[in-house]
Amino acid sequence: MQVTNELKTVQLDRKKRTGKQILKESVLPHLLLTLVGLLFLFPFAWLALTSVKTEDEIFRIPIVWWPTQFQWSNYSMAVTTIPFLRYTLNTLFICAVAICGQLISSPLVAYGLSRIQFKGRDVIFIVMMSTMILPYQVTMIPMYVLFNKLGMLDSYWPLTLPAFFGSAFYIFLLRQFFMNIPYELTESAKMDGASEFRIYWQMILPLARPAIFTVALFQFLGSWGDFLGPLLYLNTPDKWTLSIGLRSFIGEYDVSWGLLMAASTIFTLPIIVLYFFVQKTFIQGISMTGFK
Amino acid sequence: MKLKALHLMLTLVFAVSVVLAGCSGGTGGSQGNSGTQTSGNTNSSSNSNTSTNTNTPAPEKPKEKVKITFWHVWSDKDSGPINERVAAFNEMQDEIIVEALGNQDATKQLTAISGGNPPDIALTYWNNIGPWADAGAVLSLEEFIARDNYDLAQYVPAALERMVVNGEHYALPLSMSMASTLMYNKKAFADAGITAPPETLEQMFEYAKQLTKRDGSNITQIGFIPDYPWIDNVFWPVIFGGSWVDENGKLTANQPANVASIAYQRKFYEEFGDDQIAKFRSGMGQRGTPQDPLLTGQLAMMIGWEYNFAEERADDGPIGIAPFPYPEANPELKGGGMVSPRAVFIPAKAKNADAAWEFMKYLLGVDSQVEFAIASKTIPSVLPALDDERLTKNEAMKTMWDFYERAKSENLQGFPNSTYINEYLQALSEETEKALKGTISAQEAMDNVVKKIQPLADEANK
Amino acid sequence: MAHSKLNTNMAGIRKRERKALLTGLLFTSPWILGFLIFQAYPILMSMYYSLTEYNLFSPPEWVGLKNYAKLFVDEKFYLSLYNTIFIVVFGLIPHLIFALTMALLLNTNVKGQALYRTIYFLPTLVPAVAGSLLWMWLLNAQYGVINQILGYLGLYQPNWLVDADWTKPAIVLMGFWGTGTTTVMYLAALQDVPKVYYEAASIDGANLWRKFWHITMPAISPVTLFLLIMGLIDGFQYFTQGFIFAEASQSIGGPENSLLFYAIYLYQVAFSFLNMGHASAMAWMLFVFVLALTLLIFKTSAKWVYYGGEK
Repeated sequence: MQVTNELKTVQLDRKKRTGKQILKESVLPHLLLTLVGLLFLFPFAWLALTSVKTEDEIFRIPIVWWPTQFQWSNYSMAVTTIPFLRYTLNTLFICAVAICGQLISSPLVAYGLSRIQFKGRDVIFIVMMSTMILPYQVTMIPMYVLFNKLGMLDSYWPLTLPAFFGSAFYIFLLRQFFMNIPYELTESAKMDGASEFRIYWQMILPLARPAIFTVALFQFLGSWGDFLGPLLYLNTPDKWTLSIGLRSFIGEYDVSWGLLMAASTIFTLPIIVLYFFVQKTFIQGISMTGFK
Repeated sequence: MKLKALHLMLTLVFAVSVVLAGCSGGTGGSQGNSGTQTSGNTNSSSNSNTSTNTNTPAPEKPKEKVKITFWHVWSDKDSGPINERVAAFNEMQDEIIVEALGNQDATKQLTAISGGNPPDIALTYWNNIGPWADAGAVLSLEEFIARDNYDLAQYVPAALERMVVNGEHYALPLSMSMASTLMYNKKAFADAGITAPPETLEQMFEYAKQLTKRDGSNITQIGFIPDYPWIDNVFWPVIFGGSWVDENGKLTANQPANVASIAYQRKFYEEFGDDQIAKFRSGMGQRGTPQDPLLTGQLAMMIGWEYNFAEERADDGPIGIAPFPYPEANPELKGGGMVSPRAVFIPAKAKNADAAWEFMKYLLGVDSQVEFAIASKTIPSVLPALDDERLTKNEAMKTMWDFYERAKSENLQGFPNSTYINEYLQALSEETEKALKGTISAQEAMDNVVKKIQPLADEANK
Repeated sequence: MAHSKLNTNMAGIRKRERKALLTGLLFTSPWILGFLIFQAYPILMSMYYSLTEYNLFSPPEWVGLKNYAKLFVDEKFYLSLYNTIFIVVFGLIPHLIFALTMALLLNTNVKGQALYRTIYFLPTLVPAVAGSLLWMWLLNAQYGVINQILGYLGLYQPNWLVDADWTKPAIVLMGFWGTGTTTVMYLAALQDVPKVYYEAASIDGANLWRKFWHITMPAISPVTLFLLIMGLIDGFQYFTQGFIFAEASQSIGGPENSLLFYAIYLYQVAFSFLNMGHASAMAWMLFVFVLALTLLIFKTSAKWVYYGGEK
């Protein structure tokens, strides 16, 4: 009680800030953030601007910053040249299934590797880490043979099924977050007789929300932008994904720059929108104190 | 709870996608090669040596259609012409249905063939045939050729040669890309007072000097850059009459003609300055856009392929074309150049080799070659097509006429096939790069190549 | 008396251990299953291939350790390793520092956070193909924006993609553009740091730097460990962008092979030279090297990583 009162008084005192503090706490961060933000935004802005330029202006020297003519038809052509909707739906499907699979399995495994002490845990962990080190180029063909034997070629299975068994990358990430959660919390629950699974489901998962969302987001990005997987395992154009669709704008001898940039912009838009909304849950990250 | 919300959202997206995707049959665990694998149908195909498919009447019961898969490297952007051929073939006969699939690059083709799921027929670049055939991935066509008395003399020799490995034909050239032309900016020539394109390489060097303008020490216009747009380690030795391997399997990359071809290129760098060329080059416009340096005149001359400036090289256009110059001392090398064909082949374990062969014969038939050449603006690899009126009297193909003519030249060559072709090409690129930079002499560079690659050649010839 | 008590204690412990083992295995079973089904076979095959001469189509020929021996006399093996280590060293550490800085700035109550976060994350959303081509354009020596800015500031303008000395720095520069994901992860970690710690430190009179060094850094060290290890593992396998650059400029290793990264050379050996045996040996060499590095880092991690959950 006394501590909280003291804290409150400390906070009250801090409400009045000096000019110097305002500079340090508001203006400087803002400045840096804006500067870096502009640097980051620039290439993307270039991408978006190029997507509405005419062929003539894209590579004009001296550089044309703002298009004099807006060729919006780049967009209409981009979505009609390839079966855009079809590819988008296909890609979304793969993303959705993969995310589901990942969210079901990876946290489970991560919990086992972080919150349960058992013999052989470290061995499993090291083997798991090791699987990420071998370059995929040498396991690509045996893996293809495997999926061939399983009869899964020309389908979405190779792109989604493995996700249901967890991925070392996400398991590692989640393990780090899980290990950060104080044991006192779970110990008391265990002593009350709660099973590991209950602790996992009702205590750990909610506390690691930011990490879980990160996993979902990254899996989405991974599946959304995956090119090699769909190329290898999909032999019917109807099943293709957006990343393959983008290749349609790259010819043997020349690139349809305007169309490619337009398609790329459309490619990233839904993710931007998704991210913009989902990131609020990152913000509302739970602070570790004062729960109960 | 937000987690539940996320789950709900995902499940919704999932559900919607499943429904929509399922509606048009896009998902599923369908197995490898779709299609009816009926055994032993097509073919009692004719013994005639024409390349068009003849329909033999069905014996007692109706034949079942065979579906074959055809994988090619083109993306949607370039695949119009080949799709037309596939459609035409499917329409004109009842026994075989070809399903074409684009975007199938070398990685995918290799993986699928090695992984046990090969297409029935595929298209790739010429330099893959050597290693792939040698490794056992490709079906030799000799049996088919013998059985059908197939006429190989109709092919442009240089194109067909690229398909031969250890004396056997493993593929056929669908079309040719060819570099044997000099392209130049007419205005730049006029301004420099040059009335006719150079005929010999020595002349070209002199003209290049005249066509190069400077502003202080910086170049503002350059006559010619020998490794623009890339180092071509096949083109130049061919122009000089060089070769890469002799009948005994000994590498000849360091023989005088080859070395001379590199020394000649180096001359340009010595004349105009390494740094100056590098600097100017980085400021040149982007190739293949309205700011292309040959169009704007930044570059006066360049090595021309049949797909460069298809429209601009018309008679009244800004770009001129001429046969690429030859060495003064070797007028017999006139008309030289390199060919880079696309190869159609049948993977060794293809399920429907016979049907694939029928389709291949169609693709290489005169009619198909002509139609494909018109649609894709490439050069047919079959000699009769080069003389076909649908091409030579077709106004729409006017800017290709010179190329059709030049494709008949006996001095067209290519790089020899072998299992080590890619290592050889890579070594040539690396050493040529050093020689062009002047770090080592042309002779040293080529000696290095031979030193590096001869062991591989010896291995291969054991 | 004590004897039987000890026995029952030990029995109890063993029972608990067994229970923990079962539960642990249950929880990790998805991954174990997945490993056995999907990964064991390919990994074992690649190990086998490294001991053979295999051209992908004809049956592999056993050659024992010959591939490994050949590696040591392959100059491109060393070159590609050097190029890759360069990228890892000069790319990873600055990348982490930069991302952490951005995350720290974003963690304050600055207005418009959502917007900033989206902007920083944007680049990672651009497909690799478009992004790489875009950067090739930006890095153009004459009229690319980067050099225009450098020229404006009166600095040297390198011939980024042509000069062998500047090609790798160009890649590093491009890498900064993709720090969004790292920033996001650091941000998530920062959000989880108990605010009480900072408040208590303020009461004690700690300044910003001390708060950072003694609270923030240890608190996010689990994530730092993750980023470091993953950065290492991913860095040594650097492929995609280098490959796109190579395809676009028609030369696999770039100017003077300055962009010949380990995985790219591996790919060339496997798929272009059809020497899967040699390529697999390369892969396993890398494996040993990176595994050793990883284990080393894990070992030292006991000294600088603090898990909030540690008893």
